[in-house]
This record gives sequence, C-alpha cells and structure tokens, in this order.
Amino acid sequence: MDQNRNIRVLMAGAVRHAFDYAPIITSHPRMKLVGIAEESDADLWKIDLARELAKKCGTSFFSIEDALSRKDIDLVVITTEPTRHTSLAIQAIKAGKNIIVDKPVATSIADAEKLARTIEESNLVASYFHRLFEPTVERAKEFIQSGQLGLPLTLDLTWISSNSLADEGGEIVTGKQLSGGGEIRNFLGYPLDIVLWLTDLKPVRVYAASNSITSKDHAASGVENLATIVLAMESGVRANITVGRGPNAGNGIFTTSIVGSHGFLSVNENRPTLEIATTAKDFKSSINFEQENFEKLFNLFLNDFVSALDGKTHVRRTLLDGCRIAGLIDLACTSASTSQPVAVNF
Amino acid sequence: MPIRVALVGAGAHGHSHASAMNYLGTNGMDIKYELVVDENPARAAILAAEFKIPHSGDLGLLSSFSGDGVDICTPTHTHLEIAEICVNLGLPVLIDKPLSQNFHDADFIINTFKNAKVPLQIGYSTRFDPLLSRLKQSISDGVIGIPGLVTINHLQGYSWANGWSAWQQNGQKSGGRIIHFGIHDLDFACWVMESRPISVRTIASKKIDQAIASWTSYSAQIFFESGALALVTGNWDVIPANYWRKTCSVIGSTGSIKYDSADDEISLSSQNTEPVGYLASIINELKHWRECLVGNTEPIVSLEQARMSLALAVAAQNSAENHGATVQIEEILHGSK
Repeated sequence: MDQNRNIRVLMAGAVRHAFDYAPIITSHPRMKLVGIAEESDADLWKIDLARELAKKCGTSFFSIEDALSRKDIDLVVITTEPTRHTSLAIQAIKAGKNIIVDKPVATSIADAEKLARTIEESNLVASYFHRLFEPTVERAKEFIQSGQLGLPLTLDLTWISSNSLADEGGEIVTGKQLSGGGEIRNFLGYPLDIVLWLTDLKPVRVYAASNSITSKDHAASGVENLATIVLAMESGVRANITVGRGPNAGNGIFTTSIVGSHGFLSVNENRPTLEIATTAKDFKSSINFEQENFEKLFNLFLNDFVSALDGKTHVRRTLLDGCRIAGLIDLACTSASTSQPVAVNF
Repeated sequence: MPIRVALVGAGAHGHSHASAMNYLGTNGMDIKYELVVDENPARAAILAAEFKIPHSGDLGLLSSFSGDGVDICTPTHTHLEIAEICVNLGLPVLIDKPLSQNFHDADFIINTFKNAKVPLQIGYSTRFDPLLSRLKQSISDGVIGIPGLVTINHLQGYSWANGWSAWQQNGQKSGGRIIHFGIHDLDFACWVMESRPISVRTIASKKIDQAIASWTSYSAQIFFESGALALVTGNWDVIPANYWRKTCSVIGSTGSIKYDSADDEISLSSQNTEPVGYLASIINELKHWRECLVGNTEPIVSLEQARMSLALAVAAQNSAENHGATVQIEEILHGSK
C-alpha cells in the first residue's frame, strides 16, 4: 500500500467495543473512518447503534452489503456481537477487504476452522484485537527470548475484571445468542494469547472448570462467571489460568508469573510492575511501568497493522492465531460444561 | 505454673518451633519446652544448647515425662509411632501436618486419640499466618458475600535429589510433595471456602531435577459441594533456591480479596501491626495450642477438617499419578489408600 495514502476504514457493527475503538481510529494519522455499517436485516437496536455511532463520528451509515461492494474501503473492522464475527469476517475477506476482528473471532471450533480456511486462501492482512503490546508483556517476552529466564516451566495468569456486567453490556456478555455465552469466551482470549505469545508452544489438553454461584445474572443466563483453566502444553509446560468477573475487585486482578528453568518472573498489571529473579549473579530486579491507557495500547496495535499493510512487517498476531485461540476457548467451554479434560487436535 | 511441654524433633521444623516458643516465653506467655527429644542426640544437643532445654536422644524418655503435652515436629513417617507413645501416656499432642503419609494411618491416629479422649491437634500453620487468618475472617464476616473461587499459588525455591530434605521427596516417608507441602494450601482452600471438597483433578510435573522422586509442581482444580471452585498450584522448582512466595485471591458475590506475601498485606486493609511470615504463624499456632491445653478454646483445626484436608491431598496426589483423572474425595474417605 502507498505509505502516503490514508487507509480507508469501515466499521462493521457498533454493538460492543465500537464506541471505544471509533474515536481512536478516527484520530489515527494514517486512518480515515469512511463509515459505520450494519446488516440490513439486523435487529433494529443494532442498526440504531450503528447509526448513532456514525452520527457521533460525523461519518456515513451503510448497509454492510452495500459497503463491502465499495472500492474505497481498504480495511473492515468487525465490531458486532461475537456470534456474528465469523460470518461478517468471511464476507469481508471474500470481498477482498483487509480485516481486524474484535475478540473472540469465532464462538465455535467449526466457525474458527471455517474462518481459518477462508483467510488462508487469501493474501489479505488480517488480525484481531489483542493486548500483546502491554509494556509488561513485551518486557516479559524480551526476558524469555534473552534466555535469562531459561525454559518456561509453568505459567500462572489471573484475569479478573472488576467492571460491572451492566457497564459491559449485560446480555452482550451473558446472552448465548449474542456472545456465545459467558466469561470464558469473553476473557480467556487475553491470558491465552499471553501464554501462546510468551511460550510459542501448543496446548495439548485443556482442563477447565467454571461456576456462576457469585452472579445471579450469569446464573440466570446459564453461563459462567468464574473459571479455572489448566493447559497441558507441549514439552510438559503447564499454564494455570483464572478468568472471570469479581465485583469490587479494585482495578481487577491481572497478574502473570512464570517459573523458568533459570529464573522467575512476575508481572502485576495493577501496579504495574515486572519482577525478576534469576541465578545470574543473584540478579533480582523490579521494573515499574507507567499505567498504560487503552488509547495508547490501541494505537500501538493499529500501528502494527498499518505497518503490515505498508508491507514493512507482519502483524504481531494474525487472524489464524485468533482462530486458534477461538478454538481453544471453545474447548475450554466444552471441558468446563462436561467436567472432562479435552484434547487439542489442531 | 507454666504449661510444660516436650518437643520431639530437633530438625529445621523443630528449630522453628523452639524459636517461636522462645518468643512466647520472652513475651510473658506461660508455656515452655521442658524437654527436647531427637533420635539424633547431637542434633537434640545443639537445639537444646541454643534454647537451654534439657535434651535426650531416647524417645523412651517420653514415658517419664510428666508435662502437659508433646509437640511432634518429626518427619511424617515417624508420626504414628510417636503419637502412639503419647496417647498411651495420655499426653495431649500437637503434631505437624500431614498427620500421616497415608490416609489409613491418619484415621488410625485420630481414632486412637478420640477413643482415649486425649486431645490431638494437627499443625496447619498456614491458618495461623496473621494476614491469611484475617483474609479468612473477612470471608467469614461476609465481607465478599458468597465465595465462588479461590486461587492459591505457592512458589518455593528448588531443591535437589537426595539433598538435606530428601525425606520430603520420598513418597514412603512424606507421602510426596503434594501431600507434604501442598496440603497447607489445599487445607487453606477448604477452610476459606467453608465447603466440603467433592472432587479434585491434578496435573503435575517435575522438571529441573528428574532424579527427584516426587512431583516438583502441581495444579489442582477442586470442586466444592457449594459449587465453588479452587485452583491451587504449587511449584518447588523456583530459582533462586531461597525464593518463597504465596498469593491468594478469593472472588465472592459482593467483593474480592487478594493476598500476596511479597506485599505482606492484604488488599482489604493496609493496617499491619502483627508480626508476619512463617515464624509468626508458628508463634500464633503455639499460642493457640496453649489456649487449647488449658481449656480456654477449641482447636481451630478440627480433626474432621484435618482428616478432610488429608483426604483432599491424597486425592490430589492420586489424580496427579493418573494424569489428571478426576478423583472423588469419597473414594479416599472410604477407600483403603
């Protein structure tokens, strides 16, 4: 792509995170938001949201069907409810558009596989929203790659959000028709992404357990509020993950710790700090970071995507990575609902 | 008259207890060790010299001990023999966890003491950690509503095969590391969730030193009767060797609570005037034992709870041996192993 040219962006759907993403896309120096679109047969409230966002951003509203046939759109950002992510992503890919899909990119293994096949047949730039540009995660990755930690042995990650369900859209999280259902689908992608990014190992078996005894809203929808997931991975590495929503949990609980063969590393996103201890000359340090704001992280993500569109680099995470994670999330849901471990065959 | 008790075991754990007892004595608490016994007379002599306690290398000397109780700080596989000596003498006992390396012997010890009406307490010192006991109290007080999930992560520096604590790696002597070390956190999970564990599945591994005859890390998912969950993880492979850290968080229906030993505080309150750490746990445990011995209070660790925690630990260990297969706690409670 011509590096002097703006990237013309269409946002498909305005159901959930779109209102957070749109202002950042609008103010990105290389992006131009050309419109907000929604399917013409979508529920009225979804169309109303898309029109509202278009008005707020001072841009046009389109039907998705019309928008995808336009030649003046380079990138489609899919921000519908999760259960429509796959179908719209496939439509956009088939229309030859580069895409960014909100997480999770699919709500079933079947959808994840279908999306993976579709993107593999294209040469488009495609990714999904992730948080791997968090400075603490980046430093942790550098530390592992430098060899100072040795080989990762076990990882422990906690991802407990303190945001109220109402603030996050209520039924958009708990409604199976909209989200696929529950906090495993909603949150597991983030810590899972960190595990896969830091280790580059494949999970071989998923052991998940979940409940909804602390949330009447989740229980009423028949979905989980809290979950523990143990991943047995290649090379005998193990990841222990806790996800969910905890009322009044301060700023949430977001921690990562890694025991390596030559050291130990701990990241606390709440402070945020990264603590390291290794055998190297009794090396022990604690690095403090500035609290990142979402806008800054999102811009780092967009810059990565723009760089790939310019042909300079590859995106940090491809849509195929997102499909793999969506598949693992689905396996975790299956494991939790059956109380049985599930083998990973992809 | 002070409460006079004997200490059996002059190893590392016995030394911690002697230090804690010394702290209590110098702070006006009327309880003291009047005898230390260890099968290794030289080790007993060293500890005795440091804390100015009469000592012996002969367990038989206990039979002429006329004190108020016996504190057993020996390796797990010796508990049964020493406990039997004490119960036959009618001496109340504080015995280090786990009560036994197998559930059968643990039940035998409990029933023997119950039948003889001799008080028995099991030393789950984690429950006496000042901050963790406040965490538990907050939950009991309803501060976070219904507890739904507890996660506990314990990280400890590595050891090597056949090193100074080799008996802890030997399943015949300690039950294995999940039972020996993990039981603290498995017990704590049951205690804070105030619910009966129904089943557990455990994935475990050993990494740095393959010659170690026991797991060096584990991840246990526990399912409670209330519907609550626990994820209890431990790792004894951590480098540097002197590393020690514990984190715990509990998510409830109206709030959450978290603890990190690196912070030496819990998030609900930053006020901290109590001593913290392992020694403080032992001090509080011995102080509590003293109150039980004089009849002022009932043991914080009931025999049924101690029995259940051991059943959970044995189940977790069995699950680990069977590659994460779910093990029902009832199988252990009513089984033979």
